[in-house]
Amino acid sequence: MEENIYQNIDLTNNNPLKAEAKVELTFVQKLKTDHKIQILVGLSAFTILILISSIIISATRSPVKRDNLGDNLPTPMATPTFINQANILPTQYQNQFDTIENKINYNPEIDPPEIDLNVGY
Amino acid sequence: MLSFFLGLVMAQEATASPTAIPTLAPTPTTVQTLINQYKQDYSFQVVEYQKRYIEYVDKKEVYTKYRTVSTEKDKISAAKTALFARNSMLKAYLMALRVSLDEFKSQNPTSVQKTQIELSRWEDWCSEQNLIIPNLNTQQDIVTWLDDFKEKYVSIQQIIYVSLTQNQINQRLEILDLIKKLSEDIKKDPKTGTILNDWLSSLPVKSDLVMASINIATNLTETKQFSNRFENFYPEAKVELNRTNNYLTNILSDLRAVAIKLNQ
Repeated sequence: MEENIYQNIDLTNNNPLKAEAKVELTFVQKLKTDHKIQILVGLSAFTILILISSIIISATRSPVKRDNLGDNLPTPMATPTFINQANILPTQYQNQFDTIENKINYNPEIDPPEIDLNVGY
Repeated sequence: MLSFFLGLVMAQEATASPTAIPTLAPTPTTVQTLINQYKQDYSFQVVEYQKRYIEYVDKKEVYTKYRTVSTEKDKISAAKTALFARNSMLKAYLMALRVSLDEFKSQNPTSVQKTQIELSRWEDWCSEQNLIIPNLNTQQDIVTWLDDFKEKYVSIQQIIYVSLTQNQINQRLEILDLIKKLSEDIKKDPKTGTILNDWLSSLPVKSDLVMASINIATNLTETKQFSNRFENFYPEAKVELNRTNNYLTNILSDLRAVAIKLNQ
Protein backbone atom coordinates (compact mmCIF):
# COMPACT_ATOMS: atom_id res chain seq x y z
CA MET A 1 0.00 0.00 0.00
CA GLU A 2 1.32 3.36 -0.98
CA GLU A 3 1.87 5.72 1.77
CA ASN A 4 -0.05 8.99 1.71
CA ILE A 5 1.82 12.02 2.67
CA TYR A 6 0.18 13.56 5.63
CA GLN A 7 -0.58 17.23 5.74
CA ASN A 8 -2.16 19.11 8.54
CA ILE A 9 -4.53 21.47 6.96
CA ASP A 10 -4.76 23.65 10.05
CA LEU A 11 -1.08 24.44 10.08
CA THR A 12 -0.16 25.39 6.54
CA ASN A 13 3.36 26.40 7.39
CA ASN A 14 4.10 23.27 9.28
CA ASN A 15 4.44 21.20 6.20
CA PRO A 16 7.78 19.42 6.30
CA LEU A 17 7.73 18.99 2.55
CA LYS A 18 7.20 22.62 1.83
CA ALA A 19 10.15 25.02 2.30
CA GLU A 20 9.56 27.53 5.10
CA ALA A 21 8.78 30.98 3.74
CA LYS A 22 10.89 33.66 5.53
CA VAL A 23 8.84 36.54 6.86
CA GLU A 24 10.66 39.92 6.75
CA LEU A 25 10.04 41.73 10.08
CA THR A 26 9.62 45.50 10.19
CA PHE A 27 11.81 47.71 12.40
CA VAL A 28 8.99 48.22 14.84
CA GLN A 29 8.53 44.46 15.05
CA LYS A 30 12.28 43.97 15.55
CA LEU A 31 12.29 46.68 18.17
CA LYS A 32 9.53 44.88 20.00
CA THR A 33 11.24 41.52 19.83
CA ASP A 34 15.04 42.09 19.78
CA HIS A 35 16.59 43.21 23.09
CA LYS A 36 19.91 44.21 21.46
CA ILE A 37 18.17 46.71 19.23
CA GLN A 38 16.24 48.02 22.18
CA ILE A 39 19.47 48.69 24.08
CA LEU A 40 21.11 50.27 21.02
CA VAL A 41 18.19 52.58 20.41
CA GLY A 42 18.02 53.48 24.07
CA LEU A 43 21.73 54.41 24.20
CA SER A 44 21.47 56.42 20.98
CA ALA A 45 18.53 58.35 22.35
CA PHE A 46 20.41 59.05 25.57
CA THR A 47 23.47 60.33 23.66
CA ILE A 48 21.38 62.60 21.48
CA LEU A 49 19.62 63.93 24.56
CA ILE A 50 22.93 64.80 26.23
CA LEU A 51 24.20 66.44 23.04
CA ILE A 52 21.13 68.61 22.72
CA SER A 53 21.17 69.59 26.39
CA SER A 54 24.89 70.56 26.19
CA ILE A 55 24.20 72.78 23.18
CA ILE A 56 21.33 74.47 25.00
CA ILE A 57 23.37 75.02 28.19
CA SER A 58 26.41 76.44 26.36
CA ALA A 59 24.17 78.74 24.36
CA THR A 60 22.43 80.07 27.47
CA ARG A 61 25.69 80.59 29.40
CA SER A 62 27.61 82.28 26.57
CA PRO A 63 28.45 85.95 27.41
CA VAL A 64 28.05 87.00 23.79
CA LYS A 65 24.43 87.57 22.99
CA ARG A 66 23.43 86.91 19.47
CA ASP A 67 21.53 90.18 19.39
CA ASN A 68 24.68 92.16 20.29
CA LEU A 69 27.07 90.41 17.96
CA GLY A 70 29.15 92.93 16.12
CA ASP A 71 28.20 95.81 18.39
CA ASN A 72 30.51 95.44 21.43
CA LEU A 73 33.31 93.40 19.94
CA PRO A 74 36.77 95.00 20.30
CA THR A 75 38.23 96.21 17.06
CA PRO A 76 41.54 94.49 16.23
CA MET A 77 44.59 96.74 16.48
CA ALA A 78 47.38 96.86 13.97
CA THR A 79 50.13 96.23 16.54
CA PRO A 80 49.59 94.30 19.76
CA THR A 81 50.34 96.19 23.00
CA PHE A 82 52.40 94.38 25.63
CA ILE A 83 52.14 95.44 29.25
CA ASN A 84 55.86 95.53 29.90
CA GLN A 85 57.59 98.45 31.58
CA ALA A 86 60.86 97.91 29.75
CA ASN A 87 59.11 98.21 26.41
CA ILE A 88 57.15 101.28 27.39
CA LEU A 89 60.20 103.16 28.68
CA PRO A 90 61.67 105.46 25.99
CA THR A 91 64.59 103.61 24.43
CA GLN A 92 67.00 106.57 24.73
CA TYR A 93 66.81 106.37 28.54
CA GLN A 94 66.73 102.60 28.86
CA ASN A 95 70.52 102.24 29.33
CA GLN A 96 70.68 104.96 31.97
CA PHE A 97 67.88 103.34 33.95
CA ASP A 98 69.56 99.93 33.66
CA THR A 99 72.92 101.33 34.82
CA ILE A 100 71.39 103.00 37.86
CA GLU A 101 69.35 99.92 38.74
CA ASN A 102 72.45 97.71 38.50
CA LYS A 103 74.32 100.10 40.78
CA ILE A 104 71.51 100.06 43.33
CA ASN A 105 71.48 96.25 43.34
CA TYR A 106 75.27 95.94 43.44
CA ASN A 107 76.78 95.21 46.85
CA PRO A 108 80.43 96.35 47.05
CA GLU A 109 80.84 94.97 50.58
CA ILE A 110 83.64 92.46 51.15
CA ASP A 111 82.95 90.37 54.26
CA PRO A 112 85.61 91.01 56.91
CA PRO A 113 87.64 88.01 58.09
CA GLU A 114 86.54 86.14 61.19
CA ILE A 115 89.46 86.09 63.54
CA ASP A 116 89.86 84.07 66.72
CA LEU A 117 91.84 86.33 69.04
CA ASN A 118 92.56 83.44 71.42
CA VAL A 119 94.87 81.64 68.99
CA GLY A 120 98.26 81.21 70.68
CA TYR A 121 97.15 81.70 74.28
CA MET B 1 109.27 74.98 59.55
CA LEU B 2 111.53 77.56 57.85
CA SER B 3 110.59 76.22 54.44
CA PHE B 4 106.90 76.48 55.36
CA PHE B 5 107.24 80.15 56.35
CA LEU B 6 109.22 80.79 53.15
CA GLY B 7 106.39 79.17 51.21
CA LEU B 8 103.81 81.36 52.91
CA VAL B 9 105.95 84.48 52.36
CA MET B 10 106.23 83.62 48.67
CA ALA B 11 102.46 83.10 48.46
CA GLN B 12 101.98 86.43 50.18
CA GLU B 13 104.37 88.16 47.79
CA ALA B 14 102.47 86.62 44.90
CA THR B 15 99.24 88.10 46.24
CA ALA B 16 100.94 91.42 46.92
CA SER B 17 102.11 91.89 43.34
CA PRO B 18 98.93 93.64 42.05
CA THR B 19 99.37 96.55 44.52
CA ALA B 20 101.52 98.52 42.09
CA ILE B 21 98.80 98.61 39.43
CA PRO B 22 95.88 100.66 40.84
CA THR B 23 97.68 103.99 41.28
CA LEU B 24 97.07 105.16 37.67
CA ALA B 25 93.42 106.37 37.45
CA PRO B 26 91.93 102.99 36.56
CA THR B 27 88.93 102.55 34.28
CA PRO B 28 85.80 100.93 35.80
CA THR B 29 86.55 97.61 34.08
CA THR B 30 90.13 97.59 35.34
CA VAL B 31 88.96 98.38 38.87
CA GLN B 32 86.43 95.56 38.76
CA THR B 33 89.05 93.13 37.44
CA LEU B 34 91.48 94.18 40.17
CA ILE B 35 88.83 93.87 42.86
CA ASN B 36 88.00 90.35 41.69
CA GLN B 37 91.69 89.45 41.67
CA TYR B 38 92.23 90.73 45.20
CA LYS B 39 89.08 89.00 46.39
CA GLN B 40 90.40 85.72 45.01
CA ASP B 41 93.71 86.26 46.80
CA TYR B 42 91.83 86.94 50.00
CA SER B 43 89.70 83.80 49.59
CA PHE B 44 92.88 81.76 49.13
CA GLN B 45 94.32 83.19 52.35
CA VAL B 46 91.07 82.47 54.22
CA VAL B 47 91.32 78.79 53.27
CA GLU B 48 94.99 78.72 54.32
CA TYR B 49 94.16 80.28 57.69
CA GLN B 50 91.32 77.84 58.30
CA LYS B 51 93.66 74.89 57.69
CA ARG B 52 96.33 76.26 60.04
CA TYR B 53 93.73 77.14 62.64
CA ILE B 54 92.43 73.55 62.71
CA GLU B 55 96.01 72.24 63.01
CA TYR B 56 96.61 74.61 65.91
CA VAL B 57 93.43 73.51 67.70
CA ASP B 58 94.49 69.85 67.33
CA LYS B 59 97.98 70.51 68.72
CA LYS B 60 96.55 72.51 71.59
CA GLU B 61 94.21 69.64 72.49
CA VAL B 62 97.12 67.19 72.50
CA TYR B 63 99.15 69.53 74.71
CA THR B 64 96.23 70.03 77.11
CA LYS B 65 95.93 66.24 77.40
CA TYR B 66 99.62 65.28 77.88
CA ARG B 67 101.35 68.50 79.02
CA THR B 68 104.77 67.34 77.81
CA VAL B 69 107.68 69.47 76.53
CA SER B 70 107.37 67.99 73.07
CA THR B 71 103.60 68.61 72.80
CA GLU B 72 104.14 72.17 74.02
CA LYS B 73 106.74 72.69 71.33
CA ASP B 74 104.31 71.38 68.73
CA LYS B 75 101.60 73.70 70.02
CA ILE B 76 103.88 76.76 69.88
CA SER B 77 104.95 75.84 66.38
CA ALA B 78 101.31 75.38 65.24
CA ALA B 79 100.33 78.69 66.91
CA LYS B 80 103.07 80.56 65.06
CA THR B 81 101.98 79.04 61.75
CA ALA B 82 98.32 79.92 62.43
CA LEU B 83 99.20 83.48 63.44
CA PHE B 84 101.33 83.88 60.33
CA ALA B 85 98.44 82.66 58.14
CA ARG B 86 96.05 84.94 60.03
CA ASN B 87 98.22 87.99 59.33
CA SER B 88 98.48 87.02 55.68
CA MET B 89 94.72 86.72 55.49
CA LEU B 90 94.25 90.07 57.21
CA LYS B 91 96.69 91.73 54.86
CA ALA B 92 94.96 90.20 51.81
CA TYR B 93 91.64 91.51 53.11
CA LEU B 94 92.98 95.02 53.69
CA MET B 95 94.41 95.03 50.17
CA ALA B 96 91.11 93.94 48.63
CA LEU B 97 89.30 96.58 50.66
CA ARG B 98 91.75 99.31 49.62
CA VAL B 99 91.33 98.48 45.93
CA SER B 100 87.55 98.27 46.23
CA LEU B 101 87.50 101.90 47.43
CA ASP B 102 88.68 102.97 43.96
CA GLU B 103 85.30 102.02 42.52
CA PHE B 104 83.44 105.06 43.86
CA LYS B 105 86.47 107.18 44.76
CA SER B 106 85.42 110.06 42.49
CA GLN B 107 82.64 110.96 44.94
CA ASN B 108 85.03 111.85 47.73
CA PRO B 109 88.63 111.50 46.52
CA THR B 110 90.37 113.20 49.46
CA SER B 111 88.63 111.17 52.13
CA VAL B 112 89.03 107.91 50.22
CA GLN B 113 92.71 108.63 49.62
CA LYS B 114 93.19 109.17 53.35
CA THR B 115 91.48 105.86 54.13
CA GLN B 116 93.52 104.04 51.49
CA ILE B 117 96.76 105.37 53.00
CA GLU B 118 95.62 104.15 56.40
CA LEU B 119 94.79 100.71 54.98
CA SER B 120 98.19 100.56 53.30
CA ARG B 121 99.84 101.34 56.62
CA TRP B 122 98.09 98.38 58.25
CA GLU B 123 99.00 96.13 55.32
CA ASP B 124 102.64 97.02 55.94
CA TRP B 125 102.21 96.39 59.64
CA CYS B 126 100.84 92.90 58.90
CA SER B 127 103.87 92.20 56.69
CA GLU B 128 106.21 93.38 59.44
CA GLN B 129 104.49 91.14 61.96
CA ASN B 130 105.04 88.17 59.69
CA LEU B 131 108.78 88.85 59.93
CA ILE B 132 108.54 88.87 63.72
CA ILE B 133 106.35 85.77 64.21
CA PRO B 134 108.96 83.16 63.12
CA ASN B 135 111.27 84.58 65.82
CA LEU B 136 108.84 84.02 68.69
CA ASN B 137 110.35 81.09 70.54
CA THR B 138 108.53 80.76 73.84
CA GLN B 139 104.93 80.83 74.95
CA GLN B 140 105.67 84.07 76.78
CA ASP B 141 106.95 85.65 73.53
CA ILE B 142 103.73 84.65 71.81
CA VAL B 143 101.52 86.00 74.62
CA THR B 144 103.35 89.35 74.57
CA TRP B 145 102.93 89.56 70.81
CA LEU B 146 99.25 88.62 71.05
CA ASP B 147 98.56 91.34 73.64
CA ASP B 148 100.07 93.90 71.30
CA PHE B 149 98.11 92.50 68.35
CA LYS B 150 94.83 92.77 70.28
CA GLU B 151 95.36 96.48 70.85
CA LYS B 152 96.30 97.10 67.24
CA TYR B 153 93.38 95.00 66.02
CA VAL B 154 90.92 97.55 67.50
CA SER B 155 92.35 100.16 65.13
CA ILE B 156 92.40 97.67 62.24
CA GLN B 157 88.73 96.84 62.78
CA GLN B 158 87.90 100.51 62.91
CA ILE B 159 89.56 101.24 59.57
CA ILE B 160 87.94 98.13 58.05
CA TYR B 161 84.41 99.23 58.98
CA VAL B 162 85.11 102.88 58.16
CA SER B 163 86.22 101.74 54.69
CA LEU B 164 83.17 99.52 54.19
CA THR B 165 80.80 102.29 55.25
CA GLN B 166 82.59 104.96 53.25
CA ASN B 167 82.58 102.85 50.08
CA GLN B 168 78.85 102.23 50.32
CA ILE B 169 78.19 105.91 51.07
CA ASN B 170 80.11 106.84 47.94
CA GLN B 171 78.17 104.27 45.97
CA ARG B 172 74.85 105.86 47.08
CA LEU B 173 76.14 109.36 46.27
CA GLU B 174 77.10 108.21 42.79
CA ILE B 175 73.64 106.70 42.27
CA LEU B 176 72.01 109.96 43.39
CA ASP B 177 74.18 111.88 40.91
CA LEU B 178 73.26 109.48 38.12
CA ILE B 179 69.55 109.87 38.90
CA LYS B 180 69.88 113.67 38.83
CA LYS B 181 71.76 113.48 35.53
CA LEU B 182 69.07 111.25 34.06
CA SER B 183 66.32 113.62 35.22
CA GLU B 184 68.18 116.49 33.55
CA ASP B 185 68.29 114.52 30.30
CA ILE B 186 64.56 113.77 30.52
CA LYS B 187 63.84 117.43 31.30
CA LYS B 188 65.60 118.48 28.09
CA ASP B 189 63.37 116.16 26.06
CA PRO B 190 60.88 118.30 24.03
CA LYS B 191 58.10 115.78 24.78
CA THR B 192 58.51 116.21 28.56
CA GLY B 193 56.66 119.50 29.02
CA THR B 194 55.36 119.74 32.57
CA ILE B 195 55.27 115.98 33.20
CA LEU B 196 58.48 116.07 35.24
CA ASN B 197 57.50 119.06 37.41
CA ASP B 198 55.99 117.03 40.25
CA TRP B 199 58.94 114.68 40.36
CA LEU B 200 61.43 117.59 40.33
CA SER B 201 59.58 119.37 43.11
CA SER B 202 59.69 116.25 45.31
CA LEU B 203 63.37 115.54 44.58
CA PRO B 204 64.90 117.94 47.17
CA VAL B 205 62.87 116.34 49.97
CA LYS B 206 63.86 112.83 48.91
CA SER B 207 67.50 113.85 48.39
CA ASP B 208 67.49 115.32 51.89
CA LEU B 209 66.31 111.97 53.27
CA VAL B 210 69.16 110.21 51.46
CA MET B 211 71.69 112.73 52.71
CA ALA B 212 70.34 112.56 56.27
CA SER B 213 70.87 108.80 56.38
CA ILE B 214 74.30 109.17 54.80
CA ASN B 215 75.25 111.76 57.43
CA ILE B 216 74.15 109.44 60.24
CA ALA B 217 76.24 106.63 58.73
CA THR B 218 79.23 108.99 58.40
CA ASN B 219 78.88 110.13 62.01
CA LEU B 220 78.75 106.52 63.16
CA THR B 221 82.17 105.88 61.58
CA GLU B 222 83.56 108.46 64.00
CA THR B 223 82.47 106.47 67.07
CA LYS B 224 85.11 106.71 69.80
CA GLN B 225 86.96 103.46 70.37
CA PHE B 226 88.34 102.00 73.57
CA SER B 227 91.97 100.93 73.63
CA ASN B 228 91.19 97.25 74.18
CA ARG B 229 87.69 96.80 72.78
CA PHE B 230 86.15 97.60 69.41
CA GLU B 231 82.83 99.41 69.54
CA ASN B 232 81.16 98.06 66.41
CA PHE B 233 79.15 100.81 64.74
CA TYR B 234 78.74 98.94 61.45
CA PRO B 235 75.35 97.24 62.10
CA GLU B 236 73.80 100.64 62.80
CA ALA B 237 75.53 102.20 59.81
CA LYS B 238 74.29 99.34 57.65
CA VAL B 239 70.69 100.11 58.66
CA GLU B 240 71.15 103.69 57.43
CA LEU B 241 72.83 102.50 54.24
CA ASN B 242 69.93 100.15 53.52
CA ARG B 243 67.54 103.02 54.17
CA THR B 244 69.31 105.19 51.57
CA ASN B 245 69.05 102.33 49.11
CA ASN B 246 65.28 102.23 49.64
CA TYR B 247 65.00 105.99 49.13
CA LEU B 248 67.04 105.79 45.93
CA THR B 249 64.96 102.88 44.65
CA ASN B 250 61.80 104.95 45.24
CA ILE B 251 63.21 108.03 43.52
CA LEU B 252 64.20 105.95 40.50
CA SER B 253 60.87 104.17 40.41
CA ASP B 254 59.02 107.51 40.36
CA LEU B 255 61.30 108.80 37.62
CA ARG B 256 60.63 105.66 35.61
CA ALA B 257 56.90 106.27 35.90
CA VAL B 258 57.43 109.80 34.56
CA ALA B 259 59.59 108.54 31.69
CA ILE B 260 56.94 105.99 30.74
CA LYS B 261 54.42 108.84 30.33
CA LEU B 262 56.62 110.22 27.54
CA ASN B 263 55.72 107.24 25.42
CA GLN B 264 51.97 107.56 25.97
